[in-house]
Amino acid sequence: MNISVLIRSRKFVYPSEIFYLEEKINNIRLFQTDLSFYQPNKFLLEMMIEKIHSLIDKPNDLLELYCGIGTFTLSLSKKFENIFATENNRQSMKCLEKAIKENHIKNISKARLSAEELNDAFNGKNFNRMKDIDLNNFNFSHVLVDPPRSGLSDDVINLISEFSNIIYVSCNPKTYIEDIKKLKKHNINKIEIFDQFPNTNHMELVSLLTSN
Amino acid sequence: MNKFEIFKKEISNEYTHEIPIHLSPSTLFRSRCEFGFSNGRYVMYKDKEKVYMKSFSVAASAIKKVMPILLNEIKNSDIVKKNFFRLTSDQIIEINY
Repeated sequence: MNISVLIRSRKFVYPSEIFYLEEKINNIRLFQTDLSFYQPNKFLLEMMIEKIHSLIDKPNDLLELYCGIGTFTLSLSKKFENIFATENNRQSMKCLEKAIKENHIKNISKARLSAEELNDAFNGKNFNRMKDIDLNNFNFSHVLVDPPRSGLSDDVINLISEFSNIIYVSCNPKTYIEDIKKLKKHNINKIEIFDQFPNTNHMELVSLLTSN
Repeated sequence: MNKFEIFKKEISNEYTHEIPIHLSPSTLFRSRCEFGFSNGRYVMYKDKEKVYMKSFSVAASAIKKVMPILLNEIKNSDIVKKNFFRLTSDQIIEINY
């Protein structure tokens, strides 16, 4: 039985084997801890990743916000020339760093930045966490956002509205619709529902928005 | 209206094409589960009230299989007793497969 167990109390973690929990999706090794976000529906996750692949036409470079442990990032590294992946959660970034190394991937750059800090970086602010990364060296054809239930801030809306192709993965239809209405330069090209949590009111959306 | 119909209606001003729906089996789909542990049993919380779990049908079959074995191991584990029980009465148990 291939089972990993983590028991956590307030100041103590007891992992049954190793600290990172590992899963293989489409031959890519993903790592997570109990403190990192993860898509838990094993039946739909591969399908979601394949759907995102199918939405991408003429890829150059990808900018990713809220990348988490790299559930989409790692797979999409096969599709794009380069990826710049950002996430604010330290644990998730450590998991992504390990996965990049263990999967021997060379075309993913990453920085621990909130979406708002990334917006500041595009506006010229320097971050030590980006000291080896020059945004001018990228030729972004797509941006991928997978925000929390609260959706996108106005700053992030303004940032991604400059991209021709937006892949928006949402776990909250309400904030998704609110955000879509603010992206006035884009139309929904494709949208699909993934019922990750049957018998609840929750669902996951995968969509492609293209500029008018 | 179910949740899908509600969404389709709410998005209809922005998108008029068909929206494919990918369904999940209603059981055995979760590859990651998190439970509390209290009084020697698994618990989850509903409106801050403890709900003691006898089974968890959405957990992947491997997780379901290991749950009673793990519970027994935890209850008899010196490490858990020594390092957890003295800190707080409620622990979090995370199971992935």
